[in-house]
Amino acid sequence: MGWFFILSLVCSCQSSDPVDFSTQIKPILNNKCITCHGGVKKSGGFSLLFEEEAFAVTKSGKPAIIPGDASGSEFIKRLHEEDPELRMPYEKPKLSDEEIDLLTRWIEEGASWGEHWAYSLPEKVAVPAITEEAGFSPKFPTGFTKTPIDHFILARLEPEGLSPNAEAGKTSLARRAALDIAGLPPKRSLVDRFHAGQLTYEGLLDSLLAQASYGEKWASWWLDMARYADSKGYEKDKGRDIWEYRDWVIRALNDDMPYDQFTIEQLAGDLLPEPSLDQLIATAFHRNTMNNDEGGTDDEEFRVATVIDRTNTTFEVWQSTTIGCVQCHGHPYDPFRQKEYFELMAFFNNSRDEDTPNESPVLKFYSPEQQKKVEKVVTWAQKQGSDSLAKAYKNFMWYTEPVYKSHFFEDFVNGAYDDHASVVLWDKGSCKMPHMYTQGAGHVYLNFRSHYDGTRIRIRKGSLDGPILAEFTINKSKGNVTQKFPFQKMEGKADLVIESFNPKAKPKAGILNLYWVAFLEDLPGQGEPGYNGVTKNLMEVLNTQTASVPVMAENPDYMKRTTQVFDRGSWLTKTDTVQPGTPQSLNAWNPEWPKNRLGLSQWIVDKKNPLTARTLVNRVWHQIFGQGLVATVEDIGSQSDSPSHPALLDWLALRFMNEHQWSLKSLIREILLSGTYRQSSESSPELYRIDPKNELYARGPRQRLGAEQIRDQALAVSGLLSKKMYGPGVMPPQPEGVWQTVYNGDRWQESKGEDRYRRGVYTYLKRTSPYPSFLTFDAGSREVCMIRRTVTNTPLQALVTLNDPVYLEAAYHLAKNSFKEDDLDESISQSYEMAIYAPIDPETLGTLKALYHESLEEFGKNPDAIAELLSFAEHPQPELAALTIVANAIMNLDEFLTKT
Amino acid sequence: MKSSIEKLIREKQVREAEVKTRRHFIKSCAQGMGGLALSSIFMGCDPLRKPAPQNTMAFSERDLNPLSTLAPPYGPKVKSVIYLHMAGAPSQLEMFDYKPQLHKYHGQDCPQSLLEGKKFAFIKGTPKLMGPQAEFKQEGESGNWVSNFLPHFKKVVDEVAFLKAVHTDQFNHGPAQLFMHTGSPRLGRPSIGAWATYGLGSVNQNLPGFVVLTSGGNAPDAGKSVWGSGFLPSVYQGVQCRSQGDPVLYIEDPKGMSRDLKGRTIEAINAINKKEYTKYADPEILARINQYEMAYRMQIAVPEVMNINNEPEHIKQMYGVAPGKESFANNCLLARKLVEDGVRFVQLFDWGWDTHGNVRSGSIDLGLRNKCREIDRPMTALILDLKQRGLLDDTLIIWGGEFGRTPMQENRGNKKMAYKGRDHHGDAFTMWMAGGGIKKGASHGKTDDIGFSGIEGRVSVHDVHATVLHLLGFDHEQFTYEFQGRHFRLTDVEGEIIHEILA
Amino acid sequence: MDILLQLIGRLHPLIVHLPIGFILLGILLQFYDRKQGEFKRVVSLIYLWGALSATLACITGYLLYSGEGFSFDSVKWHLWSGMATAVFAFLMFDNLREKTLLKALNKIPVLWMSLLFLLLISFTGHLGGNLTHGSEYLVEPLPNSVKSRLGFPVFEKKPIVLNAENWRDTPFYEGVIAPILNNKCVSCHGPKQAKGGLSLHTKEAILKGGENGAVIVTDTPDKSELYARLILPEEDEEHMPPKDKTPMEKAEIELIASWIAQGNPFEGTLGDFGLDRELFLSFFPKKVVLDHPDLEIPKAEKDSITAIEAHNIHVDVLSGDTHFLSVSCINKPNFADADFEILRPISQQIAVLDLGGTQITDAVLDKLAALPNLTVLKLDNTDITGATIAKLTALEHLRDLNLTYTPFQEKYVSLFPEFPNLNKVYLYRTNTTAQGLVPLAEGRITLDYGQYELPPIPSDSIVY
Repeated sequence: MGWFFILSLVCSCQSSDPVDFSTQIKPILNNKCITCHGGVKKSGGFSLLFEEEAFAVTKSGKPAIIPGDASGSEFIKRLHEEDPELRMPYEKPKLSDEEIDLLTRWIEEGASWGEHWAYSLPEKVAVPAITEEAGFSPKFPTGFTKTPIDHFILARLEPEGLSPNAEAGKTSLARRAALDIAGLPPKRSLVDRFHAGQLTYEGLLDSLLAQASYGEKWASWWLDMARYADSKGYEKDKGRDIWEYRDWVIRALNDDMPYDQFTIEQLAGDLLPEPSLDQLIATAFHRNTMNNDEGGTDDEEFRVATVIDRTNTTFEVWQSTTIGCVQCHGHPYDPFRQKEYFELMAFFNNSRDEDTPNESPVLKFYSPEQQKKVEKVVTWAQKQGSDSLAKAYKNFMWYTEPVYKSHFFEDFVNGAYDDHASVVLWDKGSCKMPHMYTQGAGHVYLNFRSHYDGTRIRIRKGSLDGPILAEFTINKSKGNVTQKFPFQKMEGKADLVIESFNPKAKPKAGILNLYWVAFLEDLPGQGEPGYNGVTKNLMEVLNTQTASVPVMAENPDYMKRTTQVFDRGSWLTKTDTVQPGTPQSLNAWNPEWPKNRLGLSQWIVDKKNPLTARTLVNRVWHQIFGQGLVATVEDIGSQSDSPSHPALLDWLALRFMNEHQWSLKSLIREILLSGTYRQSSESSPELYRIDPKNELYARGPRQRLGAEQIRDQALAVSGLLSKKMYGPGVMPPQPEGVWQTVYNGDRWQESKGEDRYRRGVYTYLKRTSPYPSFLTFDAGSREVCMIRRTVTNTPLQALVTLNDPVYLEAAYHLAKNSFKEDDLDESISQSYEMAIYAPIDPETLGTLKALYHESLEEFGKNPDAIAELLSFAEHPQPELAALTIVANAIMNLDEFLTKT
Repeated sequence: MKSSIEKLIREKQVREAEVKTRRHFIKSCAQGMGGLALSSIFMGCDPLRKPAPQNTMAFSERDLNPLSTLAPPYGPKVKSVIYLHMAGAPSQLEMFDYKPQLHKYHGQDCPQSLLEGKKFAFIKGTPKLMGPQAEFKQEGESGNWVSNFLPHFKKVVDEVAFLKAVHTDQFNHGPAQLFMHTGSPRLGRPSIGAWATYGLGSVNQNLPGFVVLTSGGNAPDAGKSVWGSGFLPSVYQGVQCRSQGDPVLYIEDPKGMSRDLKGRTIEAINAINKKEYTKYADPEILARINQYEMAYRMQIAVPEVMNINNEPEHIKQMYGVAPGKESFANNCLLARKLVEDGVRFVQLFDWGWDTHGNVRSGSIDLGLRNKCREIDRPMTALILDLKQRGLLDDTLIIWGGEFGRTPMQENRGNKKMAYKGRDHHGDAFTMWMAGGGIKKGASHGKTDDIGFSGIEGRVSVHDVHATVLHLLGFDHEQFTYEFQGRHFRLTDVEGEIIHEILA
Repeated sequence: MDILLQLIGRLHPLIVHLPIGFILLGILLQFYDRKQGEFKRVVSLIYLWGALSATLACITGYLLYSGEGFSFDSVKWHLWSGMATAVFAFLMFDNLREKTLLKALNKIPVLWMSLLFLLLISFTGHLGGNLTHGSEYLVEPLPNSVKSRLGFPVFEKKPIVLNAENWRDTPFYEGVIAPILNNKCVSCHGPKQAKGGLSLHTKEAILKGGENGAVIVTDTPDKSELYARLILPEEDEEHMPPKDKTPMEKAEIELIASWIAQGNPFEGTLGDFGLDRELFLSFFPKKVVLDHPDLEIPKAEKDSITAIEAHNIHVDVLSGDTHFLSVSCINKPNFADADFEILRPISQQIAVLDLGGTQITDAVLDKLAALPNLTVLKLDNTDITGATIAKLTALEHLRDLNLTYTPFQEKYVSLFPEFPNLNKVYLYRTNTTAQGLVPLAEGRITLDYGQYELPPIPSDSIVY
């Protein structure tokens, strides 16, 4: 009875206070109206996406919403209509009376258009005070609150009448923290010191954070978003050398590079003044996009696809926003306009890469002596010329840009584009090289291949009968070579025509494969001592093959692309031209920032950006607790779930930027220090029913380990794991015939020695055919940015950990290491504790012992089986075989596969 | 509460208890009853006692078994789908789309009007038209055209419905295959098989719900993404069953580990996991218990169903199988066995249809004819075999490539090619469907005189998807999955059911 | 000043209630007092107040009208009757005083006058109400039938009922065209709103056309807006119905065309014009083949299903739009006759039953006869010989029967014609000799003996 009273009281209060737009109205609009009256469709010329649109005049000639006059607003009238052709929502069930009432009241109250919480960040967040714990609950574990985080958590637990769990046992807590920080179970010594109290919890965290394995663990997380892979993707899916980037990420994480710098270097390292090699490598972040070498594909189409992917990925990774939709139309839900999408795209549309098979620009890694030659040329250019000239030569030697690639050449006579980055010319062949800018250079650089001697090449200006600018002979070459030829100086841009003659050649035989043509402002000081040496160095360097990594490089002004809006997202139909710019609904643009990727990255890490810090904090939280404070970790916006602890999200975000100075390690440390994290993860069906997702955090985190972690852990507990870091992707054993790709010679070359036991992050990832067992455990194929791995639970996973030889081998070593002659109990409980980091209980021991005896009996009956099972062991014995079976079982226990 | 969990687990155990699927009852008895023994963990359970209804738990059937079945919203016409994809794009002009006029124009320049604003993969300049390289006859009562490249298939022409004017806007293999199987030319969307498995689950608890079989020596150009689960949980992605090596990766027990021992191992694991559950009350643990059970049963069921050797001779001959090898014929027979055993979606990829004319095997008059021979008998046998077992009415068979081929002869690099070839062409190509809910002998859509583009009954890839979902009992506009704050559909924002080919 | 006036004007909705109150009170009192006549003076006083307040109401009302930009047409009747009320109030007051000014009025029986008065005020009030709440405010809640009888426009989808038998006798306009227009056009071109001055709900309206003239050029659809607009491309601004409304079916459009072509007749049946049957096919009721009887049945108990599934028997609802179940023993190969009892609780719901590959014997058929709605039955790969097959003749809905891979004997085939609804029987690999498809019972039943073959042909082995 009393309840009813209170209830009704509550209701009446609610109804009396004004309707809140973002919490009460926006949801209705988004769920019921926006599909037809939003960014995609604007039926009847009415859209509810932006304030001005909502109150604007519709097709009917009058606005649909008249603030203050609900009955006069068509918007409301249509909700009451009974003619299905007029009643809204169209062809959908009528809105509930409550909804209609809310909307009506909202309009009556003046239809104020609130801003969504996601698009503004508070200045400061107060930590909630908590009622003294004693009086809070009898069974309340004292000493739960360790950090301010716990205050926010309690503030929500209290009203729910829930109390947090007690702190988890020391060893399992150590295991949990180690898995979260380093992705590996903790070292024995560490656990023992922690257990013995010689090491504080803080101390434990610090030593874990200091391990190099920290960078490897969190790299897997970042590389999913960076869509890092060792192959190019698409049909051919040829290999790609970009592991230098993966190593850069690991190092950056281990050095705890501040997140703002981490961001800027990856998005725009090349645009920093005097970028270091590392800063250039960092830009490979956006060279992880796929590259299509399939025959017959239009390079421009896939270059555009790449630019689009960069735009989308940047926003998915840093802003928790699926901007992709906006490509075709205004965002269905979030306040972004189609034009704004292309303004963002404009930032990325000016890089040199053009989907060519060689992935140019690629940064060349020179040996020290080669580097000396490079320096020689650069210093000469600097002394004789200018800094800018020096930079031009440096870039040209570092990543061979800017060059005019032959896929843009036209008007072929006796020749054609061969579809593999080169133009093929026959005898009396010619083609046009449209609007080339020669920089008034006296030389032209050609990159080509030729199987014939004595091919005459002529370059004319304008047309086939235009003035001749260059004429020279090309001879047989060993593979691709870069050569320079004298060229008549000319000003400005012009179409050039290149002709080829070789009467000796058979008709229609390719006498020249031309890959690119380039011009460089001449090196001054011709004739002076040393000049020849320098030019010799230059040509040598340009023709040396080195290891390399794809990087970003910006177009020089004379190559700048204009960005146009695509009509309905189709790259073939372009409309208005746009300039680089950021969405209105987010933080303002600072005029001091350059209008390029560098400026964009500064805008992203600007402390006024409402999404960057929140996104990062939310995702780190998700890594640790298995769900984000905003459950939809990939989306923070008007369609996302609202945060379970809004204040905590903002508090952490602000703290991350201000107190922690963007330090990832400090953030992780802070979260792991909280009492919330330290709780035991035990639970009861009742608690589960109240809070299935553990959004209230009345218990500690508990999730199945990630794909790499499961393998790493198995190798670690069995002592097989290699400590080797960095380097090219490795190929641990995988079943025959998994790799099957069209037109591609690449093979899975099984790694030897310790490379078979490297951490998962180093496993070679071929996009069209990733390492099978990782795929089974929900790792992605890294073709596009992946924010979160959906955790599944399938029989195929069981098959991996039960039958994959790697796990059997691990089981054997675990068994061997803990094998005690004539002490079965000890042997088994030892392997159990080595794996699970908890003492074995009698019942479990009983079950495992039974299994041991059954196995032993079995092997007794069939001794040959022992050698088969332990093929990799020196001298297999029945006891070890039986223990291996037991260990195999242990390594399949839920407790082993799960972080508890 | 506690006891109701006991009940729940027990009941799941009993349900999962039986190892055997219908086809190898006797066999599996011989091989130690690991699974059955499991239920002995819970002594004295009386199966006939009513267990607590599930809804008293805070989690659903799907939490325990993501493949558990769901009822389709509307009356389904079929229960399973067999999709025969000819990777590389077969030439409709040599198989089903008879264009006598094209003979006339053979060797003439292609009219500029057709080339304007068109993009081709390899054709450069002005190509020449090429007449049909096969002879055509009208077959069956329906009188639909079939070429002499398919002498067997013409016998079942009255069972199938043709789509003569399918079109796609993709003209490169990778993107086009992705589009055909995920509804989007870009990566990241679930494949049609994943949608079906997610929406309906799978009846057979011992086999994957979505099986992929490849032949022709190569995986499809677009890689595993064409049977991927995109943003759906990865449990719904296609499971590739291979003809060589383990049919499913790691399905074989390690050497030296007997079935019996494996059974006991899993018993031990699940016994300990069950205790674990009472401590953490996390349904994931129950699910894991389930999955280990299923893994054990799959280890018997998969090799069993993948083994075609003990099929009777006359059936082997009918399909023209080559045991031990990877062949389209084997895969067709496997497809029948799989749907017979309740697999929801069987996806066949046969690679090697890319007939540009650059090599002999890729020529319209020779290579194509060989590929046709390879599929002619098997796919005909598949239809007849399903029919005589009463399975055809419950099954939908789809046949097609990712696009069609040009009426023009390819002139790559402005040269005459070594062999007769046709370039990629998405404006008009032929697909066919057969089985439940399909109008037998129908033919929908018409192309112009030279087969360049559809002039009647043009249907898009989205339309095909909408139709398949309709036959499975879904409204393609209602069947969505929410991801990144948006409701995604297989058919994106398009797609219309092709009623003309529905019974 | 204006603001002040406007403000006063806005008091109108408040003030009007005074005269209404007074006058009603007066009338009531007058009626109550009709015999004794003691309160005459009080009543007249009340009427005076009524009159004064009514006058005030008129003034404020006028201000409101002039201040809020109502059109005169919309308010005039309210205005006039309002004034009339005021005047009448004065008359009543005067009438009831001892010494009346207008003797003449006393002739009229006072009750008549007050009755008239009552009507007048209610009328005025009603008009006022219509102005503020919209003219349908009152009738809104009434059922459509009543509304239409009251002459208010109501919307109802009009179905097009045609079938293979009756279509010829259906009136062309009334039966086909009118419903199409009503369902797809009238909501914007009808009594409620006539966009472009066009409404299509009556013969007259249709012929009248819209603001740019007639929409029908008799006999020539292509020149007729009514048709031409329908076939414009979707994205065309002129296209009807507008993009975001339910589009017209192809068939509907064709019908409009042929109607105009026939001279847009408003009389006569489809038969009269010898129209092609093809035109109407899509309107004929489709007969859908379902795997269950076309019946409404109660939902099966969740518990009983759970209980059955606990036996590894697979139970599925056929689809979201029915309660019928499909039951499969695919995961329970050892299902035997006795186990049938497990299924009892859902015997009414079972429409599809797959006992393929189980241990059942002929004895089970007796029990199967107890599944009233069984439609599809699979007994393949079992020991069914057919000895008891006659039991199944009790199943009035049984349509498909699969006996493949069973020892089913030839002689029992002759029993199938006795199955009321049987349509298809699969007999591949049974104790029978025939091959392929064999019709039975005048083709009502098809027997499929299978045994299909693909004999080798030379080309099988030719490699090009």
